[in-house]
Amino acid sequence: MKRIKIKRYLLMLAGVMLLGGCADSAPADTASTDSTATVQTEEVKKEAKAIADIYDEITKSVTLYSPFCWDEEFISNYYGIDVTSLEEYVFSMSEDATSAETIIIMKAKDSASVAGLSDCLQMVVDEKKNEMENYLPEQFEIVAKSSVQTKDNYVWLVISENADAITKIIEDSIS
Amino acid sequence: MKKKQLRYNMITAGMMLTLVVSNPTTAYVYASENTALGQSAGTTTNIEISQEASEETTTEEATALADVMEISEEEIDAYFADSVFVGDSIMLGFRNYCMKQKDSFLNDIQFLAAGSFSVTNSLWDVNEKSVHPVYQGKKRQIWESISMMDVKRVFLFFGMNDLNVSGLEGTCEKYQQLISNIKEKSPDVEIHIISMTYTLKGAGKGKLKNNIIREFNVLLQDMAKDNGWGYMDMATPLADENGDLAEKYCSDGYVHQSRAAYDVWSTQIRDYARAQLDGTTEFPIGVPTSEDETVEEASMEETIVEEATTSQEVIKDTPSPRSASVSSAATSECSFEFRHTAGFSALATTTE
Repeated sequence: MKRIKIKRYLLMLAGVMLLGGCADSAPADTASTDSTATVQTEEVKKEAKAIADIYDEITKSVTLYSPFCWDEEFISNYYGIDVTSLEEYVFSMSEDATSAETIIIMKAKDSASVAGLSDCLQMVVDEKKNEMENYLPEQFEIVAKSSVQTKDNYVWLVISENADAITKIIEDSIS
Repeated sequence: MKKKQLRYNMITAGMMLTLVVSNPTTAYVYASENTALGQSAGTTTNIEISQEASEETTTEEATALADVMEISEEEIDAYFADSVFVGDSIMLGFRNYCMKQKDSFLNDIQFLAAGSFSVTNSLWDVNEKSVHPVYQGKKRQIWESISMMDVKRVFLFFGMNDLNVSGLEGTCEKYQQLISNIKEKSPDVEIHIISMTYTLKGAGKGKLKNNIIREFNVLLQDMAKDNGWGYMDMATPLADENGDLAEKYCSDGYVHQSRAAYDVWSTQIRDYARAQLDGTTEFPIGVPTSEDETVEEASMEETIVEEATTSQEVIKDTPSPRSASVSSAATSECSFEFRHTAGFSALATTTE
């Protein structure tokens, strides 16, 4: 009888210890979840970098060739871009007609607009390809390496001999 | 003797009176220096009075006419408000220049321009590979875009990408075809041709040499005159003393132009607009003119010159508001001075 009682007590003790361990471990998991959530919140905050700031960083990091930022009327009138669908944008082209350099970054208000904006930027690529192909071969090569990119609500196009550096700045800023 | 002199004075006074009464706005006084019969206090007084009267009339009318013909800067701004400038990469450079000029008439101008664009490829069908300026989100034929723009004036700048492909005559033919297509879709637009500009000295290739460009510009002028189109010389203001594109106006050592050049463009187009508006242009819109006749000569009324007897001549003229010159005649024995009240310049000539 005594042995049975001892065994019962030992079993009960073991059970209590197990429960205590689980109980002890629960608070630790909650704490790690909280810290993960904090990191994610900070990361979300990092994603919200304004396009104007992205462009500013680009101009400080890379030498652009006579860049000029075109206004809403221009991009709407000629490229058919619906500016009301944009949350923010920058549409920069070289002022020099012999340079194809272009940096366009757009953030759509709605992801449904991304496809249409992408088509508009593809038109920019095609236009510059056709202009430069039998005219300025070096510029044509630069245009030929470019392509329209999208991520979430962002659409961008970089035509530049410094395209790699510029694209990295954009991607780091929006992801 | 006294009777003879009296008779002479009466005849002279009578003729002067007749002249003043018949044509109060204009008087051409011919005073003889033959002292024996022509000079007397009475005659001199009559001539002086009529001269003063005509001077006052001349001044008043000149002032009135100046007010009518003066074109305001606002009118010149408005001239370009409904305009589109069409052309190649040089025009593209002007577009980029204009778009930067906020709060300027330049910002109101519309453009259809593309690098390597030409009258030759403007006539091609639109496809994936073709060079056609984009408008409203789509590559289109020039005449289609123009018809969508609702503009009054079309300025065309081509040639740089044509001469080596189509030659002079071929380029002119295609130019006319392009304009014909534009007019078919937009019959009411005015056509204005801008001359080709030059290359930097020695930089031209093939037919793109400045002497050939000069020839081509003459052909463009003839084409404009024959069809009642406008023509704007953009070559001369940008040229150096040798007739090449001035270095300070060249951006790439070849043909493309600098900001300083486009500053000149801005001034030149305003001068052109002023000449179109005040009628001093050699290329009035809708008025085909032949080679032998200038616009001034065509708009002047007929000048009648009657030779008076012996020592006096009366020149009679009724000039139109836009005339600028009047013919006159004088003998070596006489001096004359004449003034005219109309036109943009006053001439005073004295011969002896």
